[in-house]
Amino acid sequence: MDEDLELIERFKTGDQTAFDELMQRHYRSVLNLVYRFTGATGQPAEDLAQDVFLRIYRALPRFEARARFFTYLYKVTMNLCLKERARWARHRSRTVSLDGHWDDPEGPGPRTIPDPAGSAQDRFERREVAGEVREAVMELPEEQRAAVILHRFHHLSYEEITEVLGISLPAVKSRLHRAKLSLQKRLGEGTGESLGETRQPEAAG
Amino acid sequence: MATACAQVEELLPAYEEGDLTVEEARRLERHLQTCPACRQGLADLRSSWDLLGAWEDLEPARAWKQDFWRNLGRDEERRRQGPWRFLQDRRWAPVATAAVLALGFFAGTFWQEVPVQPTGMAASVVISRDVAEIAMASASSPETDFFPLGEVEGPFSAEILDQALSSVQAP
Ligand SMILES: [Zn+2]
Repeated sequence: MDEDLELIERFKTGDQTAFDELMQRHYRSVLNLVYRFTGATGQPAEDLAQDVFLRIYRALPRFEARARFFTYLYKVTMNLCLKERARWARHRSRTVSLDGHWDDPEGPGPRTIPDPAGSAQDRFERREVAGEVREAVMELPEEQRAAVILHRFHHLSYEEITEVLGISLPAVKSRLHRAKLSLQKRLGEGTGESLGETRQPEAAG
Repeated sequence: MATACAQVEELLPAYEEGDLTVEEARRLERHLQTCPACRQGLADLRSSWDLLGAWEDLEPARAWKQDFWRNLGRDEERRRQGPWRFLQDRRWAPVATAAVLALGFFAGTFWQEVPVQPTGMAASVVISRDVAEIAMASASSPETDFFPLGEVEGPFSAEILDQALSSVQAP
């Protein structure tokens, strides 16, 4: 049986530690979905991730295991991101920049743990590449960006993406298709080789 | 760019995903063998997709879990506030504070103009002090809000378990 569903069953019988474990398994993932989709970092990103789990906590007693838990979790996350984006746009128009992505109202740069390996030069180049990639993804239209993030960073299949975004299979494919062509132009060609050489290996986990 | 190349470029992502028919794939491969530009296109498509892996994860805040159980506790508390709940909402704090000031002003005027009615005055002062306390509480920063769960280190203490269980069983 699915480990998430086991935890949910335990939680439904009143076992709070099961919810703790469920969060342990998914918090990082939810936080990073928020981060990559909205561009928010620091406290605003944490607040949103916390809100997701607060809502899950309330809704879980009524959760029926028709879908896999994480597609439900990601769906809630995406919906909250969109809702929050609308709120930010209403109350703090300065947080929505002209090119359409959401600036961090708290300040610059993500809080990431630097990789201790490699020279200062390596680290510098790696950060540059990461910045290029971040910009390229952020410049994608929102609906393409959502599909790319779920597929590339959360390793969801097409079918799972249809569940999360509530769109058809052809729509998922066409969004990914168009996104890949844009990214190819933006990150390949010319810049491709120099960027490719400094590319860091996939992080474990 | 030749029309053939434009068509091939458009098909490359589907080719990568294995979504082309056998016949389409064979035709595309034939083109790739003779066209360095489209071969470069395919290489770029692959490398740009791989390159996305350079975008590092955000590290969760060190105390994210304690934050969650504390937020949950606050949320429970807010739900218990009933009709006064809106005063606990930080967005309403300025309104509540303004209301208190207005009430205080009104009470002051009342005191000066009708000094022979101490009972009514006292009542309005009592009301305004209650409202003031609630308003002050809701205007204070989250760090200084009194909430006993905030003192607890882990989420597994008996109080938290009781709190949470009662909330789960509540209708
Ligand atoms: Zn060609």
